[in-house]
Amino acid sequence: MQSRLRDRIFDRKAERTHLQEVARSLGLFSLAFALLLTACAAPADLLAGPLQVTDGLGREISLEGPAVRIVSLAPSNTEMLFAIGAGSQVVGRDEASDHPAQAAEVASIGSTFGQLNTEAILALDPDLVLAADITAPEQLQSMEALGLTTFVLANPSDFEGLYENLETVGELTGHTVEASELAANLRARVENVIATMGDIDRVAVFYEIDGSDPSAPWTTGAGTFQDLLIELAGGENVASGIQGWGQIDIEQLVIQDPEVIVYGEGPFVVTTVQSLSERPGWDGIAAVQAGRVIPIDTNWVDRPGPRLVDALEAMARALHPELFD
Amino acid sequence: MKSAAVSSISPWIWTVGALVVAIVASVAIGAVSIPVDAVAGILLSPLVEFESEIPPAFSTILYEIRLPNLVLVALAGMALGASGTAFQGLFRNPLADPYVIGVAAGAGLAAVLAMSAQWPADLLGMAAIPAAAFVGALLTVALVYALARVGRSTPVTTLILAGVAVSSFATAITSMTMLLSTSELHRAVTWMVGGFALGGWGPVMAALPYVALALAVLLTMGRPLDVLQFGDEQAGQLGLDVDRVKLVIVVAASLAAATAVAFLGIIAFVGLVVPHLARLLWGTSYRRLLPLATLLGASFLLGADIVARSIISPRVLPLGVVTAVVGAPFFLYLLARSKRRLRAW
Amino acid sequence: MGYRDLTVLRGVTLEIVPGEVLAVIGPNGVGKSTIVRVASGRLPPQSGRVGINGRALHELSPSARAQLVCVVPQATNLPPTFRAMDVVLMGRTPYLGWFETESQEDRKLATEAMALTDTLDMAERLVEELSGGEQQRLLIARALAQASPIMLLDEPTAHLDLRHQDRVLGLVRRLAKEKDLAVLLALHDLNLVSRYADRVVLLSDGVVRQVGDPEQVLNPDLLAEAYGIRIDVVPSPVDGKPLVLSAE
Repeated sequence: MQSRLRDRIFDRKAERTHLQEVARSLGLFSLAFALLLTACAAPADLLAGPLQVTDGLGREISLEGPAVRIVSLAPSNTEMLFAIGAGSQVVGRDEASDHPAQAAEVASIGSTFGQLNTEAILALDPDLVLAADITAPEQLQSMEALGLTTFVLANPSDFEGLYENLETVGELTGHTVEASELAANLRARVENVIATMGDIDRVAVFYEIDGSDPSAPWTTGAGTFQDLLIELAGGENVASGIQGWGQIDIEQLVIQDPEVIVYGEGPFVVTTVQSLSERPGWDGIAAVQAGRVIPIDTNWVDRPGPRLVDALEAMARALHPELFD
Repeated sequence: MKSAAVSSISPWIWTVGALVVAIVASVAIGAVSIPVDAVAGILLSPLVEFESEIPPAFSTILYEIRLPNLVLVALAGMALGASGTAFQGLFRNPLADPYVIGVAAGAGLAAVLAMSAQWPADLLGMAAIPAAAFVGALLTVALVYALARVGRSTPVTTLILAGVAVSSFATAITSMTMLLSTSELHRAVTWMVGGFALGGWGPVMAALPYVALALAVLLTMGRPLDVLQFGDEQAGQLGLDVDRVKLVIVVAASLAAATAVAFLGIIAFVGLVVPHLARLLWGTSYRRLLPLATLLGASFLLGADIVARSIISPRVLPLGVVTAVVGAPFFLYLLARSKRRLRAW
Repeated sequence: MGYRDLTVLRGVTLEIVPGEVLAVIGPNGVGKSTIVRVASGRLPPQSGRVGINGRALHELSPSARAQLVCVVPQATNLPPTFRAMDVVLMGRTPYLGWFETESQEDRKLATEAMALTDTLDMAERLVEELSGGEQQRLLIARALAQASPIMLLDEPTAHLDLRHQDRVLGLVRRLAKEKDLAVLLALHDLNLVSRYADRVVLLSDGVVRQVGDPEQVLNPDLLAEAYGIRIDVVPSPVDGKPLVLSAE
């Protein structure tokens, strides 16, 4: 059984090597043009040689060349792939990957409650499975055992991490130029927000991710990306005493008296500005009295992809509208 | 009165027939549709040379995904069927199942603790989470059994009470651990509802010795279980070493259920519905029930697995969700259809 | 002898011999069932011992014990969907290992036991289809299949009507004589005791009041003292045996 599998992997590698030889001879032929038209960075350059990239688990992952058949196991991965122009190389995606709109047209490989359809993944014959922190180590191991190449893109803890992830995805897919351009663009927007804030007075903010239990809503404390967004947008997280995600007691919240309440809006969230303001006991909070209850698209925040910058800008606007008029 | 010959053979024809159908369907049905001739070609390729070109991915899917998955699911189904039957016989209660005495709760707690400690998938060459779940299940059952002992005997009531108490405690700690380690929450939920669909022959080889050992013991406990149906007092007067028999059955049945839980997550209702169905169809003698329920368990879980893999393909529905959704109404139907027999466990 | 923290009976010394029916009588709660449980070896005595031919019963393994002593319980809560034959075959348990199943020899012994108890024609029927009297006879057949020299019976007639009471106890007495069994019978009904027992033990207040033949023990004064009511005993118009009547 094992040798049978190995044969098959070699087959696949042989096919690809053949493809690369064709590409390489074509490449030699067009070398002259390339020298003349240096700006021609266009589609995934199959010319690039073997790659070795370190993934989020510290593993050295080797590729024969940039990946051309990619299965993405997380919405953030899918968004990054499409954002740097590698969308056409994505052959499979997890069920939740719904952005951009073209991503929905790519074949889904399942993932309900995290259950992956290994059979469907294998049938797509990918040369790279782009996994994320939500991929269980057991699933990675089993995909590796089936001869698949997996690469874990770790969740960034700050914007630098996001830029690095974009560069990494660029390298894996042969879109290094677009990735660098996108990263530079995003960096400029983030720095613009930081510069706009200067050393403005910070406003107290409460960020709610789930209010199913109004007497103890779920929030994001220290160490979360939401906490970072609040800080960069000139706010002060009233839940910074909580480590990671957690529930905050309504009594605590009333004492902290946030000036702004931001809540995640998206699938599974039923909270509205009105329903939040009408919760018993919440009418005493300054943010509710001042009508400063603001929704933010939860997918921008929860998916550690390029739209984190959209989230930062939205947060800045929510906390300091006066600076943006 | 049915003819004795017919009634003693037909259950075997039914159960073996159902198992064969389930196995064939399990090989044929999956997220990727593989034509029947390709399946036959791949399976027979060691024996016969085929002209036609079969995509190599098909062969990998069959040998490395579908067949090992089939064997693992069948083993788990057998383990849960036999274990459920043994527990129902031991407790003389048709509503008993392996989870009553803490198998699932203990496995869940250990798995979540191991995940919150960020154990990798592989530890000392073993699948770390299934190993932790397995040890957790057995430790919990040992604790429940020790708590339930009154002097030299282990009354069923104290066993169930200790099981409920320890399970609730373990479940509470599990919830707390999951809430405190949100980074591993996703992994924990994934495992609980249906295991990790590991693929390959590794899990099969890891599970096989435990299931084989447990089944070998349980399948020979039919007569002692029959004697126990007269109650502990009479069973003792009939010469059965009641306490030792109970201990052996609890250990073997827990071992079987713990193995299933370790590799496929917490699968509800199989241990409950399968023995019950077998009993309604074929009467109460445990000597017949145990092997029949074992086979039926394999067919039932394979059927549930086919549904899980195909109903919303390419998405996979967790196996535990399917067995609960299918099992609960089915259980109620059995209950309604045959209340007379229900009294007759 | 008694339970963990409760001494039910003190200083009881009883002897049962082959071919004899010994009845234990006494008011409710006096320890009739305890005697049966201790004599079966399920309950070890707090002091003293229960022995058979000089061997201490509760030190034997369950199967060795069951080869010496069989017990006929009240026919309640039997597994309803067992076949009658399967119930009787359970009597062969002490001779089988856990992993063994009954041999032809075991089946022959069970069939004989059913023939003796007049239950053979119901062998294929389910327990739930049998009347109380039939179930009780089935349990006696099971005890006979156990082939042990001592038979203990705990209120075997509790749920039976008059006709079945006579059939069951008549059967027990006949078997004691034919098979040379030592029979110990815990029984409420003093008039049944009078008719079917060879010897009677009267218990009250946790001690033995009297041991002897029915005429000796079924004495109005002894019974009045033990049961706390006035009692008359007259010769039965049927067979001249003592007939016990309440005189309250």
